[in-house]
Amino acid sequence: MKILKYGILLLSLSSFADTKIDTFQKVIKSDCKDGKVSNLLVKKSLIELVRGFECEGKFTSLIISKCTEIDCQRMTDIFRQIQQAKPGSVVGDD
Amino acid sequence: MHKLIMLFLVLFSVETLASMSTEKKLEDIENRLGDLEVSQALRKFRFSGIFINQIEEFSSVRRNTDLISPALASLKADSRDTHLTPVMMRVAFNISAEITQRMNFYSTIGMAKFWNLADRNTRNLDETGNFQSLGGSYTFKDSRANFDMAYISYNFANSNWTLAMGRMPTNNGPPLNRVDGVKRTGTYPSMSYNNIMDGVAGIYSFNKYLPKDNSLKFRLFYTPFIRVNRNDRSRQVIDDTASGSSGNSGEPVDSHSSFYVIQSEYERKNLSWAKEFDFYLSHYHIDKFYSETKQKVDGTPPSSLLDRFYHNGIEYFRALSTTVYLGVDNLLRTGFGFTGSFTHYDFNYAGEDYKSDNVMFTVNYTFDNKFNAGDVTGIEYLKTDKNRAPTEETTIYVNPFYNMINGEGAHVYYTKVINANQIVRFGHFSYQTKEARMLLIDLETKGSASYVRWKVFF
Repeated sequence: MKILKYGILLLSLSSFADTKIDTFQKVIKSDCKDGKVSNLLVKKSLIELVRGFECEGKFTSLIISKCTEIDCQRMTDIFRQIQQAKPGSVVGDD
Repeated sequence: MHKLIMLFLVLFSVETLASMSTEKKLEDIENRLGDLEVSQALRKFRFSGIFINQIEEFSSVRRNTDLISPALASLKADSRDTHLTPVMMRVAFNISAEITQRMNFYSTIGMAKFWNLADRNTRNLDETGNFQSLGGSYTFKDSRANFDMAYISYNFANSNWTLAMGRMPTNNGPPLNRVDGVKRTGTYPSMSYNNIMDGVAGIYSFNKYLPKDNSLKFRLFYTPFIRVNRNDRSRQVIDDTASGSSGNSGEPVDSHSSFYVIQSEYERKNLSWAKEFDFYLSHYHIDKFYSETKQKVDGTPPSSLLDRFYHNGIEYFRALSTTVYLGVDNLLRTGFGFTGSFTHYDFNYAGEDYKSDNVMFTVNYTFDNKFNAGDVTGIEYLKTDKNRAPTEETTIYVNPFYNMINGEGAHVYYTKVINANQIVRFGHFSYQTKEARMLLIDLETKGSASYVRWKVFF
């Protein structure tokens, strides 16, 4: 049941915006030079941010502890930029 | 013994049934996840949007100059002072679709109006058809929505080219995004042209040949102005101010004005001295543009000031413009960012040649502490000369700061980030302008405006 629930959550998040997940993953992994963060950890953190847990979320705080380049402000800034991004706003930058 | 064998058989059957049951459950879960994946793959649309409400208090002191003599009283501008306190809203709904892995559709449907006020003409200085298209839904007419963006983008396989066609996001370009602390929100530098254009574009990216964190792109646009008779789309526009041939009054106007833009962009991220450095060079060329309200008439001009508007023939306008844009983000990790925009125009208007040079500088600071992390404050400074033509149609204010002609002014602001979906911006404009002979503006003005804007992202 847990697998099914998690799968549904992930796919629902995907429908929230594939490009937003991709962008979030790319930025976090690019910023996090110290430790490796898995795709799964990044996605779980994004779920927490979408649900409003901000930096107090279990997986978000785990990323912050693993990556010296990412603090709470950076994390919320990345999430805010993704939330406020308008698709197609620069012609040719898909 | 018999009992042992029986027990063994029972246990073996139970185990087999249990494993079959788990396998069946897993298969069932995989099937249901597969249904979701297929459903997701078939769901192509993505939605987002913004909702803005704003109150602005604007005052302007105006005084006529001696540019236009009393004998031409009908041409003199209204010199009465202005005081307005409008409340306005803007809604923009973004719908995009991944048509195929290589083809995307992007659109924005927008509306901007004053509270409880409709049936207005556009906010443009020129109400004619081409200019109304440039402003899209930003014209504060009424609550009807317009497409401010509707284009297809196609990335060719194994190629560095992307093609685009449609109504494109050529407005709200840098540095206008900085006041909200968001990433770039438009394609052209705003000092070059802050309007919505329809056309076709080709973008070439050199990124895969460059080291990490470097980006070099060329963007080519062709966005012609089209003219068709207002009442009969099978006929040309007729210019009534010109004497026609073959005994007909008026002269047909060309239906097509070319408008090219070539833009090169270099971006570098994660430098030792800044988070990002941007350099854009944007060049455009307009030819045979027809402006209905700026045509020539027959007769003797009542003053030398109007010489250029008095003789036969349609007058087409042409222009060349070059804009250089420089942007720096988070200089020396201090939180400060800077931009500089320099725009030069050469154009021919009503038979006379003009040059114009205009500059815009901005400084912004992003807070980095637990009290107001992410908030942005800054200043925009703009200086324009007497030959500047207004090129700004899509900002959401009543004060004309961004369209100043022969003016100088500043905009200071503080943007409070409430959360990832809401910001509130407090700002103040202060500017002054002088007379401008080219557009027959015989006013000196001093204006100021304060505003509060609440913006929600969804």
